[in-house]
Amino acid sequence: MIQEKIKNPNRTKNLQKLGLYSFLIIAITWVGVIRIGFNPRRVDGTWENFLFIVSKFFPDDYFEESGAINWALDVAVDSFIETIQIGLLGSIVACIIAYPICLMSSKLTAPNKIIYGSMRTVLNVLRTLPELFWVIIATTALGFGSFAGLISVIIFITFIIYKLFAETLDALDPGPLEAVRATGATYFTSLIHSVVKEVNPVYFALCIYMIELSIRISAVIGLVGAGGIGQLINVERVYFHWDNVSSIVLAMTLLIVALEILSTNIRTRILR
Amino acid sequence: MINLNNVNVVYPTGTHAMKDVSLDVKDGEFLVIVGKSGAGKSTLLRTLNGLVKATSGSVKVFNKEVTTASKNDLRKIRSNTGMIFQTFNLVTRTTVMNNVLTGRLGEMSPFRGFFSLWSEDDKKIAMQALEEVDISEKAWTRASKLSGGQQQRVGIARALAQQPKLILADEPVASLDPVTSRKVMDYIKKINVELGITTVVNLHFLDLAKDYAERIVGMHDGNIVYDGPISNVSDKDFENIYGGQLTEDDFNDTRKN
Repeated sequence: MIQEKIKNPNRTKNLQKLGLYSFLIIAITWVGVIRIGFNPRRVDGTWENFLFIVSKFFPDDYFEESGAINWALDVAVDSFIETIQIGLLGSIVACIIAYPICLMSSKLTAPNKIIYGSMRTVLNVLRTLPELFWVIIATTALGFGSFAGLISVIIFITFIIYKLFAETLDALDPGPLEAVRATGATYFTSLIHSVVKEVNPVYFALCIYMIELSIRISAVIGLVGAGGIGQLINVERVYFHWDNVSSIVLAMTLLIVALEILSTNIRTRILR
Repeated sequence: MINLNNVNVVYPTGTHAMKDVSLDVKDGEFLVIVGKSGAGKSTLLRTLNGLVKATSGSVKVFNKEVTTASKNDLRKIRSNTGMIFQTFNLVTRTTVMNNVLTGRLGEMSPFRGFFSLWSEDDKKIAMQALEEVDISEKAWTRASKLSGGQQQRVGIARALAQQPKLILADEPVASLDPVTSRKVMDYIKKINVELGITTVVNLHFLDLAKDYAERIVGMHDGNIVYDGPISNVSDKDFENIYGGQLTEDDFNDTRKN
């Protein structure tokens, strides 16, 4: 009796499923390998290429006066400052723009269903456009350079904040808002005295994180012509100045690590 | 003070929360509404200050129709009506004083309210309200640092700061322990007696209802099934309200400690 009961009645079915899925995964992989033309011979010489690039990255005179480090300190500093400026300014502007947008597009805080519905629809459609699209639009409309970078950073960060913060607002306890509404306060005043006060520390912490993120983004979008350090990397890469590229990447790594430590520190302080 | 006439409330989800409810409350009365969860007690309370709109029937508070009130009239009604909640509903990230001051918002111009431009009078009224519930020493503490009972006293102070003519308390002690419950109920009762503010309280504890109510209204499934002075209420009436046989345990829930 027990012998019968301990047998999973779905055993054969499960095995069939396992077989089917394994077959599908193998088949899909196989088709992919054939289509891409994956072949072990194609990897030949990769290691030599890699070593060659590394030797170009760090030539003998790397730390000398004519070397890349000194070049970076002389020339790249301006571009770095530009990147930080784009990121900082962009995220500050975006944080200011995004707050009311989020308040309008959360179920809890939107003044009515029409505003809520239309905000959600428009933002969700726009958000699906890839980030690269906005940079290309901005650089074609405004020309290459830091202003286009600034505009694209503002757009990205606004969308990211919308995504993260509107959901935070949705999940908030509606009680305090109801309580303040019940005192006879008008709509905007009740928001200020309940939801906004409750959620402000969370928002500031998010903003600090956005500053960190936007400086990273502004370094990357420079590669497609939006100013700052990214643009400089692109120029040096075109001229095969690999040692200069590596010194910039090194400095960028240091900058990002420093930013991350700083922002984590500030955020934990705010949210305490 | 309050006249409900054949009030129905049907929520968008289809729930018929109040069915032809009629009720009169006189000035200065201390009315307790009892009933199971989902009986329509909270809905009744919320129709009184327009947080829930009645689907049909007439809701008159301070001789003004709430259902059809203009935005300004509704503001006035709300500002004259203090509300106390089961979950306290304080803004926990700010000070007790700021929470109580929000009680003044109904009286202020939207502009001054928006920018928190409290007058000296507002601050005095808020502090007096805190003293009324003996918690003024916590005025500058963050609300999140207080215990449940203390938070509810701040909730009462916020309602008092409105200088209301009517206080609605929606299950004010449902999330508190029995001893603290009695303390909080004592404060609500004291305000009713000393300041003469009409008070409507929702409760689901039988003992508390018996000890504090003058008049009791029983609700079951959206209907009023009992309405009368507390002295006349029998165990049979309670069974009607709760829709089932009561055991000794139900009465022992909140026995005095």
